[in-house]
Amino acid sequence: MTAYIIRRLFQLVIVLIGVTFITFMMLKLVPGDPAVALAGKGATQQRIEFVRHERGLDRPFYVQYYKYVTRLLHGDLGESLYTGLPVRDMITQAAPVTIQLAVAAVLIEMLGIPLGVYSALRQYSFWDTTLTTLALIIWGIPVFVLGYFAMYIFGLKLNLLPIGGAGLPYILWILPSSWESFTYLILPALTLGIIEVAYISYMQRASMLEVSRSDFIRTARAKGLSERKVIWGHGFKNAVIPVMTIAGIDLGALIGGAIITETVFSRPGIGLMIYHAIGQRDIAVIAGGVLFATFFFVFANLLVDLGYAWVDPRVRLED
Amino acid sequence: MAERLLEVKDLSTQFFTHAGIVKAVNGVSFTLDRNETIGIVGESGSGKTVAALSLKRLLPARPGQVVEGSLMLGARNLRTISDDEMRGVRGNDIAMIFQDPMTSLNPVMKIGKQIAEAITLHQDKSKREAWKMAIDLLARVGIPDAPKRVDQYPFEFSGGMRQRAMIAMAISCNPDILIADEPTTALDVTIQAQIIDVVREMQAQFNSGVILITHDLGVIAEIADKVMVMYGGRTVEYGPVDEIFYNAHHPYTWGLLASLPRLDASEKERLTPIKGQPPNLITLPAGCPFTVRCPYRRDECRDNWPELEIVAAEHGVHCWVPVDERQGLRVELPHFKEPVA
Repeated sequence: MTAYIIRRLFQLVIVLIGVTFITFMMLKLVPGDPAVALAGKGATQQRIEFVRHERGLDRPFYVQYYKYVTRLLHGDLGESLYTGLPVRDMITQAAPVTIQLAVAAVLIEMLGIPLGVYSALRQYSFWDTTLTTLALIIWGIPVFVLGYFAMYIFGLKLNLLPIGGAGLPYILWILPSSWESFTYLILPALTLGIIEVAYISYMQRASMLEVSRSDFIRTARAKGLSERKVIWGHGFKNAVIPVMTIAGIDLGALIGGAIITETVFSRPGIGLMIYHAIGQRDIAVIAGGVLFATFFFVFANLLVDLGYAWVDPRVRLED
Repeated sequence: MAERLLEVKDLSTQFFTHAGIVKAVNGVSFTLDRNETIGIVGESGSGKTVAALSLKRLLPARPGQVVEGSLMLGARNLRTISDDEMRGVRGNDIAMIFQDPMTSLNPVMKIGKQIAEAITLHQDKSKREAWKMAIDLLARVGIPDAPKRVDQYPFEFSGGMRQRAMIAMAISCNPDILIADEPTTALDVTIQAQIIDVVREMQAQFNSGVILITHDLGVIAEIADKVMVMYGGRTVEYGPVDEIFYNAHHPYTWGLLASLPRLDASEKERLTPIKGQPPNLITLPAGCPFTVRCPYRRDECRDNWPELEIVAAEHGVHCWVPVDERQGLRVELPHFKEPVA
């Protein structure tokens, strides 16, 4: 297990180096001369050259990349071209809002597992058909459609929940500080989470059905085990493995979904930050946001992989 | 008189599917005594496995159903006891070894736990005792270094070792009856012989009755006391093993024997297949299911199932060809001209 974790951490480092390179290229390849932009409107040629030299923009490509990574390691992500604020501070402020939403969505997503198992155990029953049909419909609705719909009903018509904002401040980094603060989380988390619930429950149902037809389940029954032990002791663990894989891959979609959800609900998180930055061509902020999202994704994936190894001895004990 | 363990009478099992009713087993009867081994032979789809699964009530619940017959395990009728009682029978009274050891063990559970689980379920043993017994059982079925192996997962075992582990699991509760459903089909030939030996040893130790399902007549010759030949869900012939090999009466049994490869055949000689396709179990004829493929069929075959005819002690056959004619035909068959080695 230790060897497995070390190997995964090593892979993680390589991925992160790759990502810094890509964000660096983003900054480099954007059209226009950054020195001109940095020097400001109406600057003299001399001033532009001075900025270019001062910022090291006249140095060779690899030196610039080296300096970029060094700055990153010191926590320096550059400044917003638009506001002049350090990108690091913008991310520190926005991150809890996004992470709160993502964690809430993942917790809701977990509901899909028992729902899928329930459906599978009562295949073709009324509830199975209902749940499966619902799952397919919800899965097919884009986040923004569902988001605006929920906002219209619960925010505008029923006036139960706030339709935008993040409910700041938080306690313990990401926890809502009060009921009122919590109400800001409900609509976006449900919007994002319920689509994932649909997806996960559908996958869990299929996986459970497949496992329940397998030979080792028949062996377990042939031993005389009770149906409960057959399903939970032998079936469930095997059936949840492929779902975990899917959930891991799906984390990427969750972050993408969080960006759209934040835009829909005007939550000042990383997603909304990137969205605005794109509109303003604020490259340093976009690069910083992408870097953050990648870190988050890679880290979450690592957690999923560790969970995977924990459940499946074939992964854990492999060489 | 040997102790009678199992008496199956007129067992019929059907699958209710969208395409129609699949008549997998049609009025099969047999008995099993202590220390006895019965071999059930027949090609794929002849109903061997379904008959065995019917005994343990392990048919896929929705389409599969035992529609007729009595299955007496001692004084208990396996058709009518409650599901709870049935769970007690499974593993404890009737244990089963399956065809494919690669998929028959839970991939994410330790071998030891899979064996110990059956022990704690049917016997009054602690988990620790059960684990010790699992080690002992693995050693008995010939797995070297059992104390270490018990702690491993199925993917760390070879196919032959997995089948040994399956046998260890099956015998863990000292069952009266051991059903082995093609236990050697997925294994290579040298391992097959070893597994058959293990089954035989375990039977000797525990005085079980064994039901061996196979399409391999070689295995039957090796281990069975009596043989039941199935075709299209029916028993076409049954008898002591020597009778079946040397005094077979049914054309289908002849076909099975003739299709065996022989070491004394010349190189140019080809294997003799049974011509035609296995029957469609949805549209079985009322009579003998072998009719369409039978070279000796006559008018009455298709629509009437022949009565059981006892041709020797404990040797019965269902066939319309008159017995003297059969004996004449059999002499003509290549594999009866000299004794089969």
